[in-house]
Amino acid sequence: MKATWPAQAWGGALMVFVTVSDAGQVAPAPDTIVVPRGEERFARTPKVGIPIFRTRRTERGEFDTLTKGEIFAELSEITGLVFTEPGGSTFHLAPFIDCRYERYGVVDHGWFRNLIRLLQLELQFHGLTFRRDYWDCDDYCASLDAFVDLSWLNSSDPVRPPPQLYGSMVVNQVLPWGANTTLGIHALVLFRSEQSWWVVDPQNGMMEPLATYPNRSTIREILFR
Amino acid sequence: MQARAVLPLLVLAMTACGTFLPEREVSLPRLPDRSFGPPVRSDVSNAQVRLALGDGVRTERGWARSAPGSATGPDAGKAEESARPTPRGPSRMAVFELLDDRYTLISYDYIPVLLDWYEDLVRTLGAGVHDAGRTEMAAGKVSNLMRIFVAAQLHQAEPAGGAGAPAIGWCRAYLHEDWGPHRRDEAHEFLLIGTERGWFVVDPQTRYMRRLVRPAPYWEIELIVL
Repeated sequence: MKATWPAQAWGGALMVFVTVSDAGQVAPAPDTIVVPRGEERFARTPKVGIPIFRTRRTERGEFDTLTKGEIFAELSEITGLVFTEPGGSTFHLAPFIDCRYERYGVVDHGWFRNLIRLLQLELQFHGLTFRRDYWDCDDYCASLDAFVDLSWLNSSDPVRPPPQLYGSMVVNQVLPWGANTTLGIHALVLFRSEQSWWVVDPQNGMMEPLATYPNRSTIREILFR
Repeated sequence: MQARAVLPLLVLAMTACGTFLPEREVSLPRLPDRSFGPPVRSDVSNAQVRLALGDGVRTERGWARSAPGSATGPDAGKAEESARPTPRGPSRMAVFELLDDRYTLISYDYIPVLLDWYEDLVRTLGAGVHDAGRTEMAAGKVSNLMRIFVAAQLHQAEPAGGAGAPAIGWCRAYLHEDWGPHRRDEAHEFLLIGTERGWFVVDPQTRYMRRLVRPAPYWEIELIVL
């Protein structure tokens, strides 16, 4: 399997070409490799509890959402920064916000706060403590993202909730904040709930409104996925 | 045994902290243990990654606007993809965000396993891999979950530290040619995986994969997050 899968991939590419062409769709470009599906059956973990997803709804029962324009406007007002989109400025270090979607759902504050605490307990339970590079600030942020994503994927809501308004925020920490006194580049999580914008450090559970967060004027980037 | 001993304490602690959240119990697929690395493990530094990726994505063209809304592409009729910025001249460069000092390359042979595992995960959680929304197949989410589960394995394999962050991230490419269901003149996000055979751009929806080469006539890489 190991030495031969690229060859299988080309075989697979040919098969896909035949089958997909039959369906009238586009065949892959010649330099495209089609990654084959394996026969492997994955072992399963013991049953784990995944929090049931909860999101904000308006009084009329619709999802409470914000558009990309509203996100830019609110964050600019609170931080005093002029945000662009990635690559949108000739100044290399200009702060930017990257929104993949035009509209995001507002996070339920209580649910998200509890989720952060639960994540910390889970990480502690599994012995996932700080390690330089492969388990540091950005991995803590990614683990919170992943935890929310698992819950979101697990949602039984017949209407798929919109992507939630939380994301990774990279900041140049010029003032110590919370338990983290190291200055320099630091990754945090930023979310928007019914209680406006909040900054969270998933490493220690520290939370503060963005409006009073001391390094809000040195934000480098915010990524909403 | 250890888990049995700790679990009641965990429940108590959760209750005490007021963190109880209603849950649904699920048995998740496991990534095969410790087989994600290449036969000879090779970590690369942040600078080496920048050089390798910069070699693949340097561009002198401006940004262009994608098709309004998302009439085609993976999220057709669902969540709207952002419109891209308008062209602003010839000096635009791709934006890199590499947050770690060192990265651990993934075995080339492990890519199919990663994709299979993610599809299994999504199926297990009750979302169809090929349902109409496909938001769950957005590269940012896929790369995030893959990276975290591989990093957790690295953590267990090397509790004393020493490994780099998994070389799994995502990138946004502005397509000059159709690629599978993705239409030209649109920006789309894909997985980016560093292996011992080079860096590969992978579409988790179609399982199409391309080596990141320079210069590529069929796309421009706009954003890399690793």
